[in-house]
Amino acid sequence: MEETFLKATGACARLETHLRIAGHAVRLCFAGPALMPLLLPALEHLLAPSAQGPPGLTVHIRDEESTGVRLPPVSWKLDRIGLRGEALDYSDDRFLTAVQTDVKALSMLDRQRGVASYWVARGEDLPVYERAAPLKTVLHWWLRERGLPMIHAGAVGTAAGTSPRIHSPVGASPGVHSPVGANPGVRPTAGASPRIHPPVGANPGVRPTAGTSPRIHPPVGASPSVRPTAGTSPRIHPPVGANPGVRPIPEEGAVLLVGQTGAGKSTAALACLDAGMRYLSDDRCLLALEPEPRVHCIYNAAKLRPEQMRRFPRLLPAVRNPGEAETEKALVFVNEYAPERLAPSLPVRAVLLARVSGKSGTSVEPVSPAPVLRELAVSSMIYQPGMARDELRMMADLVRRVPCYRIHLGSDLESVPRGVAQAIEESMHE
Amino acid sequence: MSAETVYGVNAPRVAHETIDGETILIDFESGAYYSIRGTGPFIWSLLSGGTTAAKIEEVLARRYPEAREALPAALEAFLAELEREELVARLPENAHPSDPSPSPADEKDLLSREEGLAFSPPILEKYTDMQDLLLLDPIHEVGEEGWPMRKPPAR
Repeated sequence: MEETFLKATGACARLETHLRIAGHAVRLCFAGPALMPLLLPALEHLLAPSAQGPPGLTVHIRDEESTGVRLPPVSWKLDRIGLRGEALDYSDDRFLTAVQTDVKALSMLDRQRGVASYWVARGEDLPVYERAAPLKTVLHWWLRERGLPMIHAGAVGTAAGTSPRIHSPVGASPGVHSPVGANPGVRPTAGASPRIHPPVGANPGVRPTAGTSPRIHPPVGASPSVRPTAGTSPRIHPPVGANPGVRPIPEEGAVLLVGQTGAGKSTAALACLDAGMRYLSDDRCLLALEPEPRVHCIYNAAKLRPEQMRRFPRLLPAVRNPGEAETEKALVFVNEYAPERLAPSLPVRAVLLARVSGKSGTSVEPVSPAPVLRELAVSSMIYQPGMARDELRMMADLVRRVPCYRIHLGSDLESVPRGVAQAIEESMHE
Repeated sequence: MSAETVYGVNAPRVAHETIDGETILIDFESGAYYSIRGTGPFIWSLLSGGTTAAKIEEVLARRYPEAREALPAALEAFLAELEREELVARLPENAHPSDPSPSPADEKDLLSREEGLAFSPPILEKYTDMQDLLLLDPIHEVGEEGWPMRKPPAR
């Protein structure tokens, strides 16, 4: 795999990007620019300005179509491909390999050397869920060995001293809220991650390696699969809302929203984002347990089904793929839409088992940790190649250490953040 | 089933955790998952160390003397179900059965908040919703380019 990556970088530019994920340095090496606008927006909040020391993980990324370099010959035996795509003949104690048949992609990790490969046949085949959670398999494999498994949960929270239902006035947030249209290419916070979008050459986070072609950084609009909304800035802040006087939360904290597909966790996460709460995930995030349970934002994406687009009109101008929104899902990058609401990481105060109540209001009640673990573990593990006993144990430890609640999600969207805030407050009194 | 057969968890295929009186098991090969309740989590905790039906019955009889008569049938049925679902495996004949006893820390998780120490028959519930999703579109063939493919649905 590495040889063919080198061959591919001989055919086109080798481009490097550095990420900082929960304190771990990760280097992404692209063979040519084709996949960058497809894979990087969801990771943009993690971009580091420079290498800052040797990376723990290097990921070689390429597509076959733009590089013209094929995979080495692979002999697939169908009975040697696991239910979750594990390529058993190409996996052992050192190497992990998984195949995705839906997008014709291959992920491989050399655990010993900290080198991974991600190969996809054609970038334009990458569906929304792949662009919303790029490189999820190799990142999960590598991060779980560092005590950071990727789990299937929404995550939203509150900042210390803020009310969960306040729509922050534009520009009034403590130092992070740039007015609409003001220098859209540069984040105002000191030391914040650089952006991956144009202007070309202005991005310190993505640099060509010596001797490579200057073909870096295609504008987002150059990709047929990523289309910004015409005439809109992706950084559109919702109108200032009324502060209903909800009591300030004394400490920052997040809840994990757990439940299988259709349980309402993504709607709940969107409702909280829309209400001005801190956002970390609508379905995938990183869990850490020590020294305290903590959730890390790994992807800044939020996905909306067509009916959710109608329920969250304020998010519509930020949709990056309007052409796909009715047939697949609409994709919003929170790092662009409302960067001040994106929380890199927050302590986990409670785990909420989501259910659609069928009523108007939202209510919260304590629940046994057993069904919470069942839903969290099963939905996290069943799709993720290589998930194993250790991750299950970590999830069990989580629900032993923080209170669990069932949240009955009402159809009144404004009641959802109130319910979430109530759970956070109650958890602090336990 | 022999009372002297040594049973253990079918690992690494099966992952399990017990919390609040419920054991959750995930079978990574089939995609099915299970919930064990009643006295099942206690029995499972004994099994997970590798032991025999006879030793389990002995421990159960000490713990639930009032249910001594009902124990053998309940245990046999439960073990048979676990074996049929391939959640436990028969260990090699030379495997040494452990002297089963859960740790005090485990005890807290073995009992649900509602249940006390009275015997209640072990219950194994199987869930196939995730399995159904995984098997909905399984890998059927290798395409012309040698890539594993999902077979298009029949018209």
